[in-house]
Amino acid sequence: MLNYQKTYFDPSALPAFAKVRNNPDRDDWAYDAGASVEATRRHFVFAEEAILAINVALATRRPLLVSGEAGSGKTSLARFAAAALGRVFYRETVTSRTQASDLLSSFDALRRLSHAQLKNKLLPEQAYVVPGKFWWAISPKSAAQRGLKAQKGQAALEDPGLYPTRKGARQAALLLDEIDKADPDVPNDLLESLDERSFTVQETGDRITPERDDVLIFLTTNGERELPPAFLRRCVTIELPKPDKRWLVEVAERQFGTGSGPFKDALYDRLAQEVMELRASADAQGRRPPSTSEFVDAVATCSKLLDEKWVDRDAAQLRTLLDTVLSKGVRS
Amino acid sequence: MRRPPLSLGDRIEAFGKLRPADAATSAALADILRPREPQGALKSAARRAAIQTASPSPGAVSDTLLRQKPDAGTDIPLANDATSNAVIPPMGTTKVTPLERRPFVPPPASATPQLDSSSGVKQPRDPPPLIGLNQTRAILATLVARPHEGIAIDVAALLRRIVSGMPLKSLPRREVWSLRRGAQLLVDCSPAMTPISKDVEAIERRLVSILGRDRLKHLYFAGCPSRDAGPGERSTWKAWKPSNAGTPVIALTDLGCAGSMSNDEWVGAEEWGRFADYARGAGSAIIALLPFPVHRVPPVLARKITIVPWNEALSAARVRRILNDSRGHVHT
Repeated sequence: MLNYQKTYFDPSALPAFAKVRNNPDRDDWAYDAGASVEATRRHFVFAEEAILAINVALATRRPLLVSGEAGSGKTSLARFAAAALGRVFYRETVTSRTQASDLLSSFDALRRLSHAQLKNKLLPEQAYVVPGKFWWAISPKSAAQRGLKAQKGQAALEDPGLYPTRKGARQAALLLDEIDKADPDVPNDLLESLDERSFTVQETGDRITPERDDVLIFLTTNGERELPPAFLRRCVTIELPKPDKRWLVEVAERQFGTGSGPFKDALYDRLAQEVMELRASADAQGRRPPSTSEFVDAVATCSKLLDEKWVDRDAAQLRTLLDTVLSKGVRS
Repeated sequence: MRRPPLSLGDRIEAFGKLRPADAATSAALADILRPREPQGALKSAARRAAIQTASPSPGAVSDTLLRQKPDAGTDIPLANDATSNAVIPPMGTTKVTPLERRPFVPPPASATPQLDSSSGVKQPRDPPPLIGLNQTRAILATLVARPHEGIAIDVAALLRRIVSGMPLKSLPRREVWSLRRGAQLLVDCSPAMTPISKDVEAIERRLVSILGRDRLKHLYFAGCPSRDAGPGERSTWKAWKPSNAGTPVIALTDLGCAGSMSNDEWVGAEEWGRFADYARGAGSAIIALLPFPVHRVPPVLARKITIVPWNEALSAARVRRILNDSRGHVHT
């Protein structure tokens, strides 16, 4: 048990259930129904080390680099931490094609060229700028206007952030998921922007400065590729441990309840054991191991489709069910 | 201005704000703030299985000699005859007579002086790596990067099209180099490569950490990939198959330069040439990292394979120059 002042983030002291459903259009369940805080309390098991790392990242205002195997809960950690902190959440999944400019801003050159060829159609340069998630996270009003001053009748872009409580939250969390998938230049190109929480739009020369008080930046990597040393040295880092059986059972108990009788206890235990065996098998074969979310799916499925005598009968059906939701060919 | 890497200031800030109450928490906090360095990740089981280490053949050039700084016009003498002025001609032109081998007779145990730890006798150090450690990442990333169309508009090309009055169907973009295509790594495990096995392993490890397992196809072969190749034990090797067209194929091999003396797996220039033609026809031009002077390779083969000299003088800029010079047949 780590002992320190959880000045910035303490999941055990979350505020009461939020009753307001203010963002019904969002389908992200952690934010939907205004229940993000309650969902966080109920669903997510924060490791002690992860809570400490989030506190350190907030204290030092450094990006938090979360590493760990696939399925260890890196993305969920960012999402639930943002919800628990009451921050607007932005997420960008990085791919091999992602460039640093995609996260900051891009320029619709073709549209501008098209307008340039039509008489009196050319708009200000800013009108062709498309803000990236980093821009939205640090400066949402500016992003909505593409860097232009707000004017009457001027259509604003829709904020892609997930708002936990109310519009205009003063703090945000930005997740750059799987940062190691990008080319090595990308993290280095982002260094200055991440450090300063500001950047310059190349095409217009506009300097984008932060409107929000603070932006907590999460970066995730599964350690498959190395990140540039200069980038690593500027991040607070945490490696999430591999899920173990006890942790999985705790996750199931948080999500589906405890004290429901021996059926559920046996089910959680049996499925957690199954996941651990499949993970070992996947490791040996160099394949993707089942994740925690797949374990949760398996518990949900079995809870709905099986009755209390499931252990004794229909072993073949159970196996088929587990193959469908859990093993997905890992054993073969 | 870019913030400096994690430093004492960050520690003071985090410790001051979070106030850890015990040694364990302090240690955990310090660990989170410890600057990370990239680490390579290579499971060596497959490598061990593939190589089945063979002792260096009498024809193999010694480790020390391979590490000598290349000097234009200087030939490398035979390993077992370091005092001779023998010049090794390009392979396939002259038959070199194997040196006489004498059986090793161990001296009696009583005649062997016993060394104790206080005697001050030092173990011989490993020779320095063929490529400087600080440069390996940049060199390998340059080696496997391939050009593709980027985001930035190529204004010069755009102007040329507009001035010529051609209809503008798409915007020409500036070329950028990326690792997104991944690579195929072919590792020669014939006896000729034994003296530099540590360098080979270091390159393998570094490429895995740069590209990740999902983007690197890692195969072993002996002599030439045309004689089967595979990721594991030799018994499982199959006929070599090219990766997707345009994927760089990097071969760590001597291209037969070490000679044929007592090397059952020696392959001549003709066979390498046929293989290079086949690979190029399939859209996978071969790039060989060669631990010998380039002039040792017959010109007919050097025209078919892009050869990058694997020595201390290698740099990322030199790799880029070599790739640009051979662009016609490398970047398919």
